Amino acid sequence: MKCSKYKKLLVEFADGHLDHLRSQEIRSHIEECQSCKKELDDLRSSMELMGNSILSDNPKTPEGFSTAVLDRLYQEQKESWLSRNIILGVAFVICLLVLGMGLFLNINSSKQRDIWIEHAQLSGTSIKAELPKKIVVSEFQAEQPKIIKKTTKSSVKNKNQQNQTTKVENAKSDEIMSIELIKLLNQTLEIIEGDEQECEIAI
Amino acid sequence: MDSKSDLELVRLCQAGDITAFDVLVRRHQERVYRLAYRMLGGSNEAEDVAQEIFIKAYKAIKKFRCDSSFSTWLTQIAVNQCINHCKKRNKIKLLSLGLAIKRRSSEPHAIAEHNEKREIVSKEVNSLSLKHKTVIILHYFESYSYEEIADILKCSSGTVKSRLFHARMELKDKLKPILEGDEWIGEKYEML
Repeated sequence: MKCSKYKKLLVEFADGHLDHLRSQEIRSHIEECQSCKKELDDLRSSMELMGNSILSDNPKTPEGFSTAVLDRLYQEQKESWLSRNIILGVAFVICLLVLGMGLFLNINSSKQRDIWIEHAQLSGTSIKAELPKKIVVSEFQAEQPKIIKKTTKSSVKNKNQQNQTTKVENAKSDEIMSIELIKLLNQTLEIIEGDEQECEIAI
Repeated sequence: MDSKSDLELVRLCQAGDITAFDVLVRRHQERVYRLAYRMLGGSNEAEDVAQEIFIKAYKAIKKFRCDSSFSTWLTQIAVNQCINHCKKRNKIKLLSLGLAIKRRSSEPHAIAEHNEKREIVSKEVNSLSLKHKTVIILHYFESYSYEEIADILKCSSGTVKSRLFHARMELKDKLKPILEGDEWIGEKYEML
């Protein structure tokens, strides 16, 4: 075996971790090789120095260490409980706001529609200004699924199956009513237009 | 509670018993603190880091499956925490410089010489790379076997032997001046 191979085993040999056979091999090599002997001596001396250092430097745990650990643990648990509850609270408030906004918009849009219809029915002359063209029922119908979808989405948020079906039904009846109203309005428009033409002929 | 084994205490901790963890802390605090103290080069931060090690252990105790000893598992956490701490603050070199060696005139010559040597060894161990320093501290300072170190560092015992060999050789070269004469040591380290 070459010196380099013995040198690789010198640390284990110095620490007494080699088996008997290999230890014997190294002992006989060291007797012949001065370089490896010097290497082993240096290793042992440095180990002795390190050993003395280890023995004389034995740090002691500071007093009250375990109490400090438990205090920190309690503190961290308290903080994590607080932060978790704050996050939950914020999420709850956001949910409430979203629901409130949805409800407000829904009520507001239906109120506006009622006001507009009432206004349209009462003042026949201004209908033309507010309704510059006839509303095509098929277009209106094409827009309706969106309303139904929106309602369905909000129902999922509420996690209330009963409410969901009720809202869908309400939306459908609203749709039928709206179509009927539009038909009525269109007829009114036609009558007004007819009257105007008759007036022009008479003039 | 004190008479219970580590694994029994771990099971109690997993069930949410914090007093069982208190027993574990008191049982292992000295070893963990000593390891942190040596890994951080005798820094004052050792106490804080040792506390963090136990807090991490408590948080992770539910994941501990008892397939190794609690002591090995705790040492794994301790070594990782110390290495991360060293990396974060880039402490290795700073600490080496912080350990400036100055002979105290009031101390008797023999004691001062002994303290000097101890501090120089500590400084040189701390100047090793993190991998080498870890195996040196675990094997020579904390008396862990190759196999135990392999378990702690999650590597083969061959890797541990190889790292120890290189670390020892490096340390031997670094400590050579001390072994050659005291006068030289004074000259070299008073400059720091």
